[in-house]
Amino acid sequence: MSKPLKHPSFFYNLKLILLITFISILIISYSSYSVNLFLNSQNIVRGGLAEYVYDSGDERVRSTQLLFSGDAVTGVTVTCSKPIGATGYYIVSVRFSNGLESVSKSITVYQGRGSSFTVTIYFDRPINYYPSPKLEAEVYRV
Amino acid sequence: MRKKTLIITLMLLTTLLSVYVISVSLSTDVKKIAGGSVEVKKYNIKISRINDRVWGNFLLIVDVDIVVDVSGNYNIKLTVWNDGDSRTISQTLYLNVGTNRVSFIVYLREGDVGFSHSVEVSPA
Repeated sequence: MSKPLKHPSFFYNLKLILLITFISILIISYSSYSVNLFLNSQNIVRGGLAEYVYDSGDERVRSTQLLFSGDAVTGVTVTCSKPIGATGYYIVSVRFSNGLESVSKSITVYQGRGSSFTVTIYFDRPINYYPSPKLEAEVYRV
Repeated sequence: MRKKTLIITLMLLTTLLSVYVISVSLSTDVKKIAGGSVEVKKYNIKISRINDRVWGNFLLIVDVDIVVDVSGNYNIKLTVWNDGDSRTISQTLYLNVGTNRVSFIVYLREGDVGFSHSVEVSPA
């Protein structure tokens, strides 16, 4: 005696119910995960780490100040030290990177006697300070 | 057939239980936010200036300008290094909204390579 067969629609419905249930679990898990992420990131810190790299040599960069327009960096003021009697042309270069893109610019200036000088360099286009700011600055005598 | 039914019933029960647990957890989280017990703060920190004060062949002091938009206590860690040596100094300070100048005594000899600086600021 063979067993009586179940109606196929029974299995079809069961599969559908299981599928819907699992999709529901997925959606609810995702929502729960999102809310948890939100709760965990209640202290959102942007720009917490910055790096400044200065060059070496007889002429050295001693100070840099970023010029801001909101969150965008528009330029850098650079103060350099040099031997007092070394007059001539100096090239000051800066490169700013935010981790996603970078801009660089250099200018040439003439300097007479003196142990330090300050120049301001404006970038051709503003660049966002965030997320990973890094400034490299160098100066050398031509 | 009974075995199959049992397995399916168990699966359904497990599923329902999981849904219940997740829902309760989600509901608790939502209540926390709606109840105002969770404060979401966004800190926008900028290091706008690094100034090396050098005496002879030694870097003595590094001035750091930090711009914050939320006042409060912050942990500030400065690392300065060249080809030969490095220094790491940490401070916890109260920073006001706007630009704050923080100075670090470093004492590091100048080498053939220039100084590199890394500043890490985080809410205390």
